[in-house]
Amino acid sequence: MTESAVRPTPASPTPPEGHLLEVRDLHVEFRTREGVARVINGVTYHLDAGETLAVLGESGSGKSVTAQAIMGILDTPPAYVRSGEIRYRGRDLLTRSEEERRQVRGTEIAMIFQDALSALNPVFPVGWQIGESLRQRAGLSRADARRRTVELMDLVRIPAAATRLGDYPHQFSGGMRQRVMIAMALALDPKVLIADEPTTALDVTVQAQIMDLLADLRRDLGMALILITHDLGVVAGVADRIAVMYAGRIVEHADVRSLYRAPAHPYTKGLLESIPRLDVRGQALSTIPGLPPNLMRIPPGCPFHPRCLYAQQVCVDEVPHDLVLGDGRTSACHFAQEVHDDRAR
Amino acid sequence: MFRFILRRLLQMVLAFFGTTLIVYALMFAGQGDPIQALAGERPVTAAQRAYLTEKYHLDATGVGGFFYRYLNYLGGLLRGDLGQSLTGRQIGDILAAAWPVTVKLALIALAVTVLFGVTAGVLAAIRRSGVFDHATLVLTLLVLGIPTIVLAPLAQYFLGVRWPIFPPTAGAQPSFRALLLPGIVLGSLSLATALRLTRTSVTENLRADYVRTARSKGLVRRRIVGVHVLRNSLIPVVTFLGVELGNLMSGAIITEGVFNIPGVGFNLFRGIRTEDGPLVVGIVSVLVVVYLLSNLVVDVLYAVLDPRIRYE
Repeated sequence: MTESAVRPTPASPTPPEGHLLEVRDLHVEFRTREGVARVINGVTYHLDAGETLAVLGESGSGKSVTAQAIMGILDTPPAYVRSGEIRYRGRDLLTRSEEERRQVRGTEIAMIFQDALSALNPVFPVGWQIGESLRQRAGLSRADARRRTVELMDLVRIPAAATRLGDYPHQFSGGMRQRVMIAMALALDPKVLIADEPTTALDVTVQAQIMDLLADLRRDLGMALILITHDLGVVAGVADRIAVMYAGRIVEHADVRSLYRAPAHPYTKGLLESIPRLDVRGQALSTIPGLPPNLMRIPPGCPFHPRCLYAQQVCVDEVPHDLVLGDGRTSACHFAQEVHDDRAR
Repeated sequence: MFRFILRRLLQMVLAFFGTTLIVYALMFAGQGDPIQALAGERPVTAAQRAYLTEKYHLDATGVGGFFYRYLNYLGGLLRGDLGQSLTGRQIGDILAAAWPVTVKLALIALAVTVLFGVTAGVLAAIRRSGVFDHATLVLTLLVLGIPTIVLAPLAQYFLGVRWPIFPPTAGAQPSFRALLLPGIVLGSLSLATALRLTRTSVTENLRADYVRTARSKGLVRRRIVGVHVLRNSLIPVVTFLGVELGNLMSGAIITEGVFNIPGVGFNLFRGIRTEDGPLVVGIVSVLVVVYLLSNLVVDVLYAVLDPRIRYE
């Protein structure tokens, strides 16, 4: 893990070598009738082959929008990429034509979505939907596509796959539907899989199964995985690194162990403390005071300062830069070191 | 599905009896002396009166008599005998001559609706807020705002008389060419509705989550719109078109009247105007069956198009 990769380096013309996927200083805004919402404000992160990056944040923090910008499936209007780079294998996707970007989707970078029931087309059988990529993109014959579809459904552990090809999405349970989504995303053997809150709509037991499946698939197929979630519990067992997002920025970036041991940003700290603990009885749930900012009026300075227990005058006046804490950790907080050392609370 | 159709067929039988009873009652309840109505201004002799009373079973009076005549009529209907009109013609023959004309007209109108309405609706939706979208909005509002009684003579005058592109009237045994203009006029109203409906439906579906999924699969836009979106969008449109076909099949009184087309609507109108009770009731009875059948077809089609709907 190189430090230069996690630091925002918009001015540096030489890209760091070797990352599979790299988002650099990405800015996305939504132009609506009510005004311009700055949804992504300089997001920088990277992903190496075979690793799992968790992107963590509340709804509206910009984690899904970043993913959709990588995929090139943002709805324009209202979403516009204002600046930044999205480099895949060293080449900036944002400068490529729509046709070139389409070629990347599915074959190189694939994505699965939160609610599989609405993400699947309700009027086509699941076998048809999984096989569609194989027939349309890989040029497989009907029979070959069918055979490969059954393989894919077996791979994601859908029982009696061959008999369920003709079933429709509404005939599957939530967990099975998400497996169909995963099979569909894997059809063209992508190198990067983006999972956008893949377990949010599921029961807790099923959540664990899907997370295990994703982890196994990532290992077996040698993919890199971007796991978008708002659930710290989901992340712990699966991810290598975590990027925490707030108001369209990465506020903290660390490997999972060090982040859990000692968060270096007050927001991460608040998130960790708000997880209910089973081993402490009768403890009041701690919450982060206040609400996420209105993206049309992001507070000056550090966007988290109105909710922050550590906030000082400097937080209102100056936007904090990423502070490097060693081990490739960064925290966009003026008091990162203090927060980090404050762990024994 | 089989059980659903069976149940619907049984419901149709009930609906059929109910509607024919109501139509029969309305048509004959209001009449004063049916024999005098038949004869018009001329005097009726006692012998004629006795003959007609027996022929039309008018000897039984009151509610009992009404039901006697109704059941008698139904009996004939079930045997395929629609009876005679007051002019002495077999109603079955009148319909046999009129129906093919109306069906031809209806199919032309439907083809116009599907061809232009649905296509333009899809185009307006994918170029939303563009010039085409706004132009179609204005045009459809205009068409929806003008009643057929105005639109039909206007079309006839401009496209049939002033610039004779089409024959202005059809007449007996109308050709396809003669039915084209009335078909377009008749179809224009459902065209406008189909266009608005398609546009709304496609617009809604373009925003659906499964479109995002289809894009993330790297499919070309033509396929996303042409296969994924269209298949979902057409569900309400097909429902509308099915009901509309039932409407069109039952004849267009105004359009057939203006263009002098000897179809079902034309004959129905003549029946009403001349107080020809048997003719009106006969035509309406058959229309009821056409309506019920077309609704059944729509329901079945709905289940075929949308797998989430399964009738059991």
